[in-house]
Order: sequence, then C-alpha cells, then structure tokens
Amino acid sequence: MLLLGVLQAQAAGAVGAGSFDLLETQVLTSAAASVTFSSLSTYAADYQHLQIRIAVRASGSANFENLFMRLNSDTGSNYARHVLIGNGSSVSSSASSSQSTINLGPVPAGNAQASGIFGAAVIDILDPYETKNKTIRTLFGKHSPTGGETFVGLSSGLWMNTTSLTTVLLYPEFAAGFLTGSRFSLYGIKAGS
Amino acid sequence: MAVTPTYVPLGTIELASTDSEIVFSSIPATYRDLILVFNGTGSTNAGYIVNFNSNTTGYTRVGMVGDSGGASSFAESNAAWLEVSTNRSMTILQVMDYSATDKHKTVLSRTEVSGTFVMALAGRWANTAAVTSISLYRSGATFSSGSTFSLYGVN
Repeated sequence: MLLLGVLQAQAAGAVGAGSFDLLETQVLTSAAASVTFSSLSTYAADYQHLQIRIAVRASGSANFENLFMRLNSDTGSNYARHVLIGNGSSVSSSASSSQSTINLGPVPAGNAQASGIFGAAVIDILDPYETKNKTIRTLFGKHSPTGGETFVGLSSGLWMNTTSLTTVLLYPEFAAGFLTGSRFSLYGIKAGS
Repeated sequence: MAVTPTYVPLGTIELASTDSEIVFSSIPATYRDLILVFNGTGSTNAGYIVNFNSNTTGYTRVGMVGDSGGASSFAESNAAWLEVSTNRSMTILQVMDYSATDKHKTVLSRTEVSGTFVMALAGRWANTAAVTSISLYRSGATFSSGSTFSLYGVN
C-alpha cells in the first residue's frame, strides 16, 4: 500500500500565482428563490472562461427539479440545449431550441429525500467575454435511494447572443427555491499569455 | 475584487511498481472540493473502490457508459467509482463539498478507457463527515507501475 500524507503546510505552500481562481461563493444560510452572480463584467479583463461548481438541493414536493440558467437577464427565446442522461436503467438524450432559459439538468429536491442529500454540477461557461455566442457545458448528477430520481448526465447549452456576459441567474424550474446549505461557487480561468 | 488562487496540488503519486492500494491521508478541511486525477492501468478491468475515511459502507453510484455496443446506465450500492482497465484509463473524479458536515458527499466523475468506453458517474457517500482520507483499491487486483494519482483542492 502506498500512502501519501497531505500536510496542510504543504498545501498552503503550493498556492502560487493563480490560473484558476475562486471569484465568489454563495452558501445559502436560508432558503433562496434563486442565486445570481451579477459582477461578471468585473472579471472580463482577467479571465477567459468561467466555471460554476455547485452542491444544491431545491425545495418543493417533487423528488427532483430541473436547474435553469438565464444569462444577462435575457428572457427571450434565445437558448438551446442538448442533454445526455442516465437514470440507472437506461440512457436517453434530448434537444430543445428557442427556449427562454437553459435547462442544465436535474437536481435533488423535496422533503421525501433524506436530509443531507445534495446534487452536484460542474458548469463550464466558455469564452463568456468574447463576441461569439455563449456555450455552456455541464456535468451533473446525484444518487438517491428515493424513487427513480437517480441520474448522471452531460448537457450543453447555447445562448445565441454575442454580448459580453454580465450576469448569471440560477433557479429551479418549479420549486420555490434552493434549500439552506446549497452552495454555488464561481471560478475564473485565465487565458494563456 | 479579491480573488483566491485555487486548484491547489495536494499530492501526486506515480507508482514505480504495482500496488494494491493507494491512500491519500491527512487531507486538510481547507478546501470545498477535491479533484482526483487518475491516469494509468490495472491488473483487471473493473471498478476499483473509492473509500473515504476508511469507511466501507454507505456508498452508491449511478453511471452511464457508451461503447461500441451502444449506451447503457446502471445504479448500484457500492463504491466502485474508479474504472480501471488493462488498457490505459483516465478519470477525473470530483468530490463536492468534501469538508462540509451538513451534506452527504456527492462525487462526479468522467472516465475514458482507451479504445473501450467512455463513462460518466455520480456517486454518493451517505455520511456527513468531512473527508480526511481517500483509499483506492480492489480486492485481488492491483494498479500497474507507471499509474499516476494526483489530488487537488479547490476552495
């Protein structure tokens, strides 16, 4: 057996000039209808890509909720999405266009779930500040013992707008919001020089 | 606006010979997420076990896999979260909110096994304890010489 101890002092010493930086984190201390990152323009000069990492659980009576994303408060039918999802017994895919939001994928919800169960997603927002349409890709999943709401998936989203990104809104499809403890972290990835 | 450089390397192991178990221990609770990157081979084609804190219970997984025969999905009650093969395989496994004590630990991973399949997997450890160690193994199997394991912390 090979054992590698990770010493905190080593870890702290390893932090150097960043190319992957934590920009903001929101950990909900009470339920919230949505989460918004609204200062994205302040990062435009320093970062090429953004990533959002979440551990989340929605409210409501359903066992899961779809997690929606809206960019720059655009409510027009300017979004498209593809998804590939496995539910423990089969794999399916779907596509939708002319949507008013991006469906990133399902997250756990509801009071039927055991406490402590949160879903997770890693969301990459590619070239958010370039004058091109915005592409979002997501890896999401969670495993729950309740019902048939176990899933893992990959999704891609498209916002057909070349405007530089300024805000990201995240909210559940039907539920009143996200539960306490849900965490949303925003990261910036620098470009090469 | 103040930002925090992150994606901090916590440790890397490169095997000089075969080994039956890899352990990252004394993981500080300094970060929010852990990212484990595996690149290597093993003595068998199977899901190797990922255990936290030397605890062997409370693990589940759901996966979807695509290979030359099509796509399929499975859900199981085990911690076989690391797919290893006699062909080279690469996995990025993300442990979300590993240091939080109000959540079960959710894992997301993607694996590619050269010439064989691609897989995405979500796992859950039904335990709210902070993760302080990670063990990787499979009974009767080994990791091959040259395999690398890198662990990162993300604030």
